[in-house]
Amino acid sequence: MKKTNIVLLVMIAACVAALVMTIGDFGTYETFATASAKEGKMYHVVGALDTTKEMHYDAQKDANHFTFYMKDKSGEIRKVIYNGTRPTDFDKSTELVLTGKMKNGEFYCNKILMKCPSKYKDQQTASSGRSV
Amino acid sequence: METKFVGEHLLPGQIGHLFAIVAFVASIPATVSYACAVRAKDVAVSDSWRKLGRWGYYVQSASVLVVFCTLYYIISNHLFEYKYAFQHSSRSLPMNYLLACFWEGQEGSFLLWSFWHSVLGVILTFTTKKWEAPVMAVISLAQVCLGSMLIGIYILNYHVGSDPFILMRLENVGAPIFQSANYMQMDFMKDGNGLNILLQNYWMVIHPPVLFMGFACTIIPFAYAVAGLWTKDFGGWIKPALPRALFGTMMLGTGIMMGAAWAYESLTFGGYWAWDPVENASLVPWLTMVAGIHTLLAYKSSGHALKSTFFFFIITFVLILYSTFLTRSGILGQTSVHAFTDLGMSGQLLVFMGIFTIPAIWMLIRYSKEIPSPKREESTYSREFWLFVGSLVLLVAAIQITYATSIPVWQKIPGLEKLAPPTEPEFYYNKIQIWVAIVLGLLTGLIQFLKWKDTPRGTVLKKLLLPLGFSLVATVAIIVFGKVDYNKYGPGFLVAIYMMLFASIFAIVGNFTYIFSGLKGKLKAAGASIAHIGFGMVLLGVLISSSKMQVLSLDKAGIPDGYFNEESKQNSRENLMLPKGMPIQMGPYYVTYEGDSSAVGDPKSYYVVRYERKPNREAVPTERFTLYPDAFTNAKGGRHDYAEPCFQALSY
Repeated sequence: MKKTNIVLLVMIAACVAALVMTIGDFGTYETFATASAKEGKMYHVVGALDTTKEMHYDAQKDANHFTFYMKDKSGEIRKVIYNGTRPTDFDKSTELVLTGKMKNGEFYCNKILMKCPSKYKDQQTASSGRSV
Repeated sequence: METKFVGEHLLPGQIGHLFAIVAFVASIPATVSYACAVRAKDVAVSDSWRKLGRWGYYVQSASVLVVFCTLYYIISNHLFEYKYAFQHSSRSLPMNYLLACFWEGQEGSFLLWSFWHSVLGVILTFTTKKWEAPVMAVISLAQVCLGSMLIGIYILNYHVGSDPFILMRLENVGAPIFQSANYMQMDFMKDGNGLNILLQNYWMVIHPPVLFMGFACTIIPFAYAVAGLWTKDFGGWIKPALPRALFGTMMLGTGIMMGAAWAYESLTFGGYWAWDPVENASLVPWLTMVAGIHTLLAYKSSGHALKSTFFFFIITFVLILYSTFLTRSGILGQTSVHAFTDLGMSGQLLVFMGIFTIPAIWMLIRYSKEIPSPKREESTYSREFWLFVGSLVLLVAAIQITYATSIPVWQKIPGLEKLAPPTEPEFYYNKIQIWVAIVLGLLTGLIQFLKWKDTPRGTVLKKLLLPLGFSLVATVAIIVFGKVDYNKYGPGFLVAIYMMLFASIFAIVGNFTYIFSGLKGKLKAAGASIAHIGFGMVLLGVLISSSKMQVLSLDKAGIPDGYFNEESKQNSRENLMLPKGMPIQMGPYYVTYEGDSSAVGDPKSYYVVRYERKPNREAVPTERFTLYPDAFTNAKGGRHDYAEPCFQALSY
């Protein structure tokens, strides 16, 4: 067997090993229900801001505390606590992807990816992903 | 009865749309003629086909130029009856950002890409000589595909492309406002939507043209490789392809780095690189193109690695198309902060990818037996062997990044719908890619000391002693005096950081030594060494800036929530409230928010933040400076981006 082929095989093996070993690092999109079933594990939860409920952010008191309510894909509404500043144009968002974990029935998130509609029609712009 | 609309400027749109169609149509005969020129046996016949193809290409290039200018005319004259101008620009935008509006939308950036193809193609018609016909046939075909993205007409009930010259009232036929003949007089139409504030940055004026120039350049080595397979002149294309591939790598690399500079200034993820899918999508083709250049050099000097050269240049362009698909089909919506939005062209993008991928790969497989390769194996002490190994390492990096970036694609596979990106994406990529960087750094420093074919034993180690020793000393010195002690992810990762530190220093020192010992200081021959020194510096800079990054604006007071604490390795209290005029401790500094100012007509607010380095509130400061962060403030909420601009400026 040629040396180059051996190198090739070693590289392929390394690739496969790396890909298989890290597959557990991939997250999953879940609902609040599954996130509360496994409290403390990090999940991505997709949903939309519940505009009927109150949003709270007071930088004077705590610049790292922003709370709001989100309705997930299954329709469940939970309180969300974000340790950061309130993202710009947050109330205009149409969809939210939160990364965080459930604790005592509240969702603590450290990353918000939000999608906002532009002023016109169905044009959407994704913006403001911020990881902590 | 048809309404007669008042105050519209219809002519520019008609010209633009007409020439978009001309460009598309003209690229078809260009492709066919060039293809016929390749197939024709008779020289005279082939020549006349080639001339025909050339004229077709000139017509399409000129048309693309007209389309380009027309669209810019519409944006710069604020003709808001056009959807493109309405969506992407506004009257208050400064002149220089009007260009950024141009490429904010998909159509504009396709047009930009097509424009660079046209420019490069016209240059190639003058410089490729005997390779003109096959190379230009490939590029003309790409122009057919790109042209089809901009025509926006129905072919057999399928909407092909997206017309950038569509009128607002035609896009929204049902809307009541457009029933009025005088709709142009209404307030609604007086001003456009404006440019996304994140894009209102000077890098957004220059970054897209450079990046798309890089994108456009990747087709040239691809076209040469395909031309080599097509004409069965398997080795002849190598020489003309090399300088063009080098140019493309330079442009693409520069474009990526400009994008990083923009991300650093405009995005809030606190850095220049976040392994965002959009960033990855342009990095991966760069990696494979660099790999291709190295196997090409190996082939040129040793005869080995021709097949892999074909493979790398073909895959580079395929990956460019794949990244186009990822960023423009809307598939990245949930995973990326700055992908384009869906225009309903996913199908068309897939076809574009297929048209180039399938025939190229098929030809490579079919002719792989005929592609010459030396009988004799390369020696383990040869430069070509290690160049090949290095290229494979680049490929491994490319595969891993592509694999993880493609999660939204894997989601389409039944059973994997819930798959999401890693919850800590940066660390996920870093912990794998750091090993790639270590190997690459070492190889970069080492390989030039090896000779082609075979190297006398013992000589390499002797030459390497000095750079190795020096690198080791420098590494230890940096670790000790620079306090590199990044332990967020444990000691294992810290060891990897130390190794990468050594590898990147060795890449710099090794190549620096080689300029003197190997090339006897002849700078004219030192292009590769200088590029490698630059590469080593990038690795070093990336490493130091990421491992030494420190957030100063940690809020230590506040309400203890006890949730994101030390053991969860997350510190989320990164924002600090700065009351006006009151010094607040932030790391070793006392920071005072002195005031801010804003002007009518300027959406930005400008802040004055004074920093003083002192051990306690009463002490005499040892260092003093003032930062002037600015932020787009939403007039309605009056919310300020408090400490964030400060912390970004102070990350290192």
